[in-house]
Amino acid sequence: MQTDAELVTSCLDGDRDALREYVDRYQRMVFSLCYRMLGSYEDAEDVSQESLVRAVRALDRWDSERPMKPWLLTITANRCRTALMKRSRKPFPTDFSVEPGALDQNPGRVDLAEELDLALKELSPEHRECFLLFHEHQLSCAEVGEVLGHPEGTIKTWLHRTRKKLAEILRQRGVVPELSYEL
Amino acid sequence: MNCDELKHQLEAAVEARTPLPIIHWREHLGKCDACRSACEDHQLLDHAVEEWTSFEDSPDLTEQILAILDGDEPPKFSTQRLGRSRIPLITVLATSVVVLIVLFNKPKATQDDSPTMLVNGPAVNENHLVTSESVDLEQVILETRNAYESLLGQAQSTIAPLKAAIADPKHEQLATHDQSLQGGHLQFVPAELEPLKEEFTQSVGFLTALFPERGSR
Repeated sequence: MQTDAELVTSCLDGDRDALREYVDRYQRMVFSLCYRMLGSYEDAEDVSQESLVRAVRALDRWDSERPMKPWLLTITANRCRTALMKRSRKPFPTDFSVEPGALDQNPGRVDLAEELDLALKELSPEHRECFLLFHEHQLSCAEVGEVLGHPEGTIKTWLHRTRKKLAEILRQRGVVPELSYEL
Repeated sequence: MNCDELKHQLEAAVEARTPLPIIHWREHLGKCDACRSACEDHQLLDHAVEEWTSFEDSPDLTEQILAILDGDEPPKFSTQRLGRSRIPLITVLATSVVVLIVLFNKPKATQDDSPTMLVNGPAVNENHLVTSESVDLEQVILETRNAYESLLGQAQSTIAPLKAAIADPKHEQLATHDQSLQGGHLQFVPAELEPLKEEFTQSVGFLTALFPERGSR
């Protein structure tokens, strides 16, 4: 598999196959952040499309010494924030995670994940992004700070506060945690 | 082993994505409800994140993106977004033009009726133009003109670099197809502003002729 730097070089040379591979490689990551942030499959599609087009057109400005993922997630997060601002007067979707086809159904284990999705929508966009970038996209606190434009210390504070808040919400929603000593 | 120590270990475990050696804390957790609750929450969230279902790819997304990049298909929401983006500027310009038109389409004063149409009184000169006693209306017109010039200046300074960017062959596709980039946002604006600009220029010319001494301020 080509490295990101090789792939980008090919894209910039006009290699259509490379472009397709680049989009294929990152579309799931971009789409999942958009969907978790926006809560709507259609909006997520639009913003994902917009983010990836924007990223491809800006590939010549990507620093190949740095990882692609935070750079692309920064673009995506900015587009999500813009989309959220534009619709700030509209009510946030309440049906957050059960749109048909949106998820790989995993019967029996989906409830807790759905509860987490529902709880996430009660957070501020910044805290939601922080949690998603750290837990879903596996960025380090420093990288999350880079994406969100805040110091690493702030991100750590947000992360712990967000986890605490989410746990509270889950408890309020009747999800009862059980302590297990087997790890 | 105390509560602070446990709290720090919990936070470190989250940040490093490592499991908390909870078995070592069994005794403390047996007698400290707060720490027990914190550990339960920690495990609950970790389980929830593990069970987060992954997303299916949007089947058409790659093709849609490639089509946009090839210039085969304009973005489906381009018109709507472009419309929104230029509404404020055009609205302000259009409103200002209407104000000017209304101001200058008022019937000219005659010797007989001019005193009643002036803001502050009867004094008009032989050319039906205002005199020193009716400075208020003149002032309003002058201020409107200044505001208008300022507005047009801002619009032009915004548009100039975008025009240059659009003219750059490197950005040609961008300007044509990507409504979300700046070039795309404003590529239609200059043409739309032309009639307004012309109207405004005429109005300014009229004003300058009307108040030559003030126009040179």
